Amino acid sequence: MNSRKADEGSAEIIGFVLIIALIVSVTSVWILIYLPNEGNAVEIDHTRLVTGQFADLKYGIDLLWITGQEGVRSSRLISPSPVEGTEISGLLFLSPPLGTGTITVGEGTNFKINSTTVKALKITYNSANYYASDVSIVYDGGVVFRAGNDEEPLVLLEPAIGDDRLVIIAVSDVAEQQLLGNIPLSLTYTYKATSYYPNATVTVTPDASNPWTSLISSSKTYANVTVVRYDALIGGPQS
Amino acid sequence: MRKSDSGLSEVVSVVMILTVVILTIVMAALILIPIMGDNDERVHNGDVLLEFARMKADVDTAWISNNTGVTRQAVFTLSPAGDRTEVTVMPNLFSVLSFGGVSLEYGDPVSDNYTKVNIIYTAANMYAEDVEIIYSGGALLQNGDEILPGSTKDTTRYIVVVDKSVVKEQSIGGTGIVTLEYRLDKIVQSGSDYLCVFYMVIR
Amino acid sequence: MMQKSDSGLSVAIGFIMLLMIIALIIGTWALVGVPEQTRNAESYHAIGVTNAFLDYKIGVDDLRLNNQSGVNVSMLIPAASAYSSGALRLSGNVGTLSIFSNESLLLSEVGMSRLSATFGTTNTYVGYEGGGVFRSDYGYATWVTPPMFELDNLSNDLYVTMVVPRLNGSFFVGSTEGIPVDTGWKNASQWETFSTNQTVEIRYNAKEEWDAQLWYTAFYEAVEKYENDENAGKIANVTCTPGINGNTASLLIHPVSGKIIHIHILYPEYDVDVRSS
Repeated sequence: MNSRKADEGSAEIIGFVLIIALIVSVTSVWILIYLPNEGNAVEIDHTRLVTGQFADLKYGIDLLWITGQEGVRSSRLISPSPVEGTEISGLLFLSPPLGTGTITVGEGTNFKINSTTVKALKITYNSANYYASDVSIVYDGGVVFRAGNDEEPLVLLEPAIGDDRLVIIAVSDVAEQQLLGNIPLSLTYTYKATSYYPNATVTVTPDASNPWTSLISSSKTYANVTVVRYDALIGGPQS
Repeated sequence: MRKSDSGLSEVVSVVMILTVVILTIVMAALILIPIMGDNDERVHNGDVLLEFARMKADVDTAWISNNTGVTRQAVFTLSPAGDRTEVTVMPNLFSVLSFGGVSLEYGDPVSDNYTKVNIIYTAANMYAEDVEIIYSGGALLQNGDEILPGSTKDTTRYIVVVDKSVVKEQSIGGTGIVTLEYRLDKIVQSGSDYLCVFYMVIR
Repeated sequence: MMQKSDSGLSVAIGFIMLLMIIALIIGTWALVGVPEQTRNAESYHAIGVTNAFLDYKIGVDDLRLNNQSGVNVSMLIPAASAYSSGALRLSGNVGTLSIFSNESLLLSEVGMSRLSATFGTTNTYVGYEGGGVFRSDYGYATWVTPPMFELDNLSNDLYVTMVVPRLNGSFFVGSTEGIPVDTGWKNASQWETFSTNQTVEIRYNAKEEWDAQLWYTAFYEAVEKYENDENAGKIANVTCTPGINGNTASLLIHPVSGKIIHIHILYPEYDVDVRSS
């Protein structure tokens, strides 16, 4: 009789302990598995967003030289990082901490056109991922490509190139700029000037990681090379 | 004596289980829901800014190419509950009460019939900070700060305007989506500026 | 003893009822919530894809209008979205356009090309055809912006102007990312002009009925716009009748008492290609 009472009492305690154990195991699965997966998905989705933004940027830059609108300044948005979660994220159950990416504007590939050196306009996005592997998306003189830590650069959009014509988007007067942020930044671009080089030979410094090396065979002569110069500026919100 | 004891153990176990359940629910309500709601609303604020930036870029494409007569659409999501970019397990129940509004208003007058057009999104968030996004005649502002400037050509400005006699001021609020339809009618020169005259309406 | 087994039973029953309620909620979500969310998400994504096609049309037109030949310009079509993959197709001969004058062929048959995208449940279909952008939902297609097809009254003579871009190439590519499209304008085509005082029939023979319906709408609206024009208005001795018969849409222009009809048609050619990523 004594043992029966003790048994009945311990059954409830055991039930309670089991329930607590269940809650603890669910929470640990959440933190160890679900949270990194969510973080990974958010960062991959953000890379897709930035790729779209670079494609739009290329379209905007191309539209200006195609329609010959010299002097026009336009601007587009680039988001360096996913939208930040709350301050106590990462500690508690929900949004994972998200890194701040970098946007750099400066000179890119050097082209030698006959004997003149022309520097391409280069805009780079470098991610600061916690969960997914880091990636860079680069706009270089008209080509948009993605480079990762271990992979070959993948060309997403080709530059304006044809059998006998080449259009290079070059810098006009750009000082190298780099902004780190977790809020969307503006990229302002101005179409400044055009130079024409008929019957010109174009050379690119060979560099395995630069897609231009495979796009232009070394020292190719084009009937028509057009260099369009742009100014580019990144900025945060101005009050 | 044994019968009342066995009755007691059931009650004790029920009470303990109830306590755990109530504690979980209370923790959820006081901590989890505001955090999730805050997160959803911040993400949504960011999404609306992207929607506005996309609209600005498309409006610019229209006048850069002098693409008159073509009607385009831009969609704005008013609240996280109206988010149509994912298929979620629990449709944003956390932000049931947060909503927003988009209004089409006249901005600064530019000449006799034309005024700058202002498209304003205001949020009424439950957890996160409220955000106000304004598209004004070609520039994009968030909470008073200029995120994207208007377009220029040397010292000439390109201003996006509407004809007051054709376009009416409107305002739509709620938790769903608002569609803005716009069409470039013509580009006129006014003083040193170019006025890109659009027809706009929100539904 | 009876008491003990009874109390065990009520807990079991309670638990089973709880499970049933949870099953009901999950079932409702699966049968109603998900399809509706998918439909909303697709509708939202369709607007983005439509805008991309409008940008494509603008880019392609700008190349020609600004004489930019010799280079391929690259653009990303975001057919895929975060939750579904998308596909982009370029078809070379979705229909044929021909112009007859009194039953004899005035203009030889020209193949119509179409660049189109589908995504998700493929109920929505967006495309660029004949210079216009269309959107088709559940088999019903409308023009988002119509092709360049105009009827004008100039000094009381009817002028028909058409610009029908031809996209050279053929592909069908699917992807979970955006799909890059390279387009180059070939500086080759010239305007073709005809003038006649006989009955003219512009006929579009489509492979699919909805495509014929689309072109019938284009003809119909061009006629409406011309007849209701505030400045010049209709020409008295010329009748324009759009018609549709199965897979053929037609526009019949019938001049009376020697009225002359002028037709100007341009077929700019573009080389279009896609790189597989």
